[in-house]
Amino acid sequence: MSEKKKILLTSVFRPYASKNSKYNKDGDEEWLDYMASRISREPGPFVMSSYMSGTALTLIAANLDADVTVMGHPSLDEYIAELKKQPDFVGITFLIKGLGKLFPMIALARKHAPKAKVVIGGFGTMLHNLGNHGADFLCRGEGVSFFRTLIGQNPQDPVRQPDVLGDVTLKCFRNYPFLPRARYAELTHGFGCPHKCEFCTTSAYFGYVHIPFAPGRQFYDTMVDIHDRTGISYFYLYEEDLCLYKKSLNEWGGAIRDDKERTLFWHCFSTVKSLTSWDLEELVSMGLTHVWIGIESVHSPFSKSVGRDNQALFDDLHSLGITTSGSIMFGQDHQTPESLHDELDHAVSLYPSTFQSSVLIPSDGTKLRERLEAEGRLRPANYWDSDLYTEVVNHPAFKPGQLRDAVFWAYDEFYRRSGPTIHRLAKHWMNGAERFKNSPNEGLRRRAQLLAERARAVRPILLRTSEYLPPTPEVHEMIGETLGRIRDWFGAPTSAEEAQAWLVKRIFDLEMAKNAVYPREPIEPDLKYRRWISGREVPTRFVAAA
Amino acid sequence: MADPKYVAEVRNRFSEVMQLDPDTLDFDARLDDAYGVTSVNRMRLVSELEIALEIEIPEPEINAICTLGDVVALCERYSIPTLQAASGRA
Repeated sequence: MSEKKKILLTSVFRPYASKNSKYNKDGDEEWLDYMASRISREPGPFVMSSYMSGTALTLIAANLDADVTVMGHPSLDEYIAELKKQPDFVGITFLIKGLGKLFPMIALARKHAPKAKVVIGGFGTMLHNLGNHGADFLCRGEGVSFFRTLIGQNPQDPVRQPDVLGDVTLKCFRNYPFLPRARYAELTHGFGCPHKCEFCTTSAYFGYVHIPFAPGRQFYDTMVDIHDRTGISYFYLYEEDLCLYKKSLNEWGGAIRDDKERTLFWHCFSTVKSLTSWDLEELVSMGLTHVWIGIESVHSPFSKSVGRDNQALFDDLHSLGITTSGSIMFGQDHQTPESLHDELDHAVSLYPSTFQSSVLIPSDGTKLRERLEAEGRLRPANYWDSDLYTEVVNHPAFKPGQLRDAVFWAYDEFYRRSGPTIHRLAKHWMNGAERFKNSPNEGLRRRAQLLAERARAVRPILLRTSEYLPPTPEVHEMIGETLGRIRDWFGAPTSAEEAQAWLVKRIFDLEMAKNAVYPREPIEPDLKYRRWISGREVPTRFVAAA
Repeated sequence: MADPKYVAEVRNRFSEVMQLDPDTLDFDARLDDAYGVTSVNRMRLVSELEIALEIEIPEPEINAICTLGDVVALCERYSIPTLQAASGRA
């Protein structure tokens, strides 16, 4: 019997802050916290925080008939130590921003594991001038099938979903581990997107087609398995437009709806186009609790935006207790400095629970980049400027720097007019709670109670902290109204909640004072180290080779 | 006079990165004009030299490289502290 292949899968190495690394620029480590850096980017202490766990490598590891070790954010020393265990394959995933770290990692693999074949993958492989990269294989697209083929396994074997867990809290609460955090599990439904938006990196990466991964009833079975083992009932689902796949969603969502023992919730990405085809209340009964919709522009030119009026859709979603992320992009061809005010007004009017603004990014490999290059509109840029606000496009209506400034103006202005994310979430949860409180549908009544309890958990954060809110009277009024609705449901705050509220106030005071005197140190992730043997995760801890 | 060890290492690595015959390389030619070297090629070359020679070249120096002769000079310059440390003279 042949021995299992030994495979090491790894992200690029830490640190991510520029302080101790020539491979990063200031603030790079902040991108790891996608809530704080993107959809809850707010001044002040209400900013929320969530670090994505890195599903891709674990998904590959859990689906190979091999002995697979996964390292997330290793230091170079930890990576070298693992190389000395002589894996047969070394897989390195990287984003364009991580390009500078790729080459030393390949060179180290050649030095310390000379017999290993090196595979590189991830969005970084889209880089237009990657050229002769020095790896043995380049994995561009879906990685599970790629690795299965590489080791001689049938790519059509059944798939498994690994446990990939994360949490959400306030950024300033991360310094206080005793404070509760909302936990979630990440699951993958499919890859790629058929809408073919010209700017979309994900669509381009997967060849502008949809690749199903775990559709249908099995998706529900996985949620149940994770829920029953961990108690987690909130799932963060990877699929570019989940609601587009009605047959699959009806199968697994229907099973969630019919489950009398568990109340499972899920977060997804979707579009105006696909949501238009659904009865939204049906989606609530199937567990939809949060949806990210790329608004892009009040005059969005993309086919995914065709369907219901944005305002009517967002209002309906919020009235049903479904929270939203709304994202807009500055620098599209039809936009001008004046029209950006309309874009922001539109976003404020939609009142998404979380909000992102960015510049239009012509990522490598996209049709947008191809077009702009042909039009001679690309500016020279360093690979590490691959982020959501660095301008790399010449736009005839904008002066250099204007679009970048507009992104931060939009974040600040949205916050000034709409208040903190944490309140908008609570407000929308209370909408759903009140909407379904007396529903004849028992499942919806259960969801109503859970949404109200979520809003109640936010109450101590909002009770004694009004001095940290933006000075806009409307924001203070809205928060007062939401607190009143929570009071109507649960009664006055208990003495425990009052104590929590004072604790939050003191934490805010301390953190703000601390930040004023001692600028916050970068938060670097710890090593994540896991191992799977033939798809079964085995307990392990990192030990350097002797 | 450049150290032959560094000249050989730079010659081998560069020819591999650019898929060129090592015997045809001109160490005074501009890398971008003569060989079409991109920023990505440059990063790979420097990374491989750093690992092979156990040196670290600061970012600003990498951006200033024009010729293979510059690369050899950098390798020599940044190998010195390592040698001093090894001999206890640092």
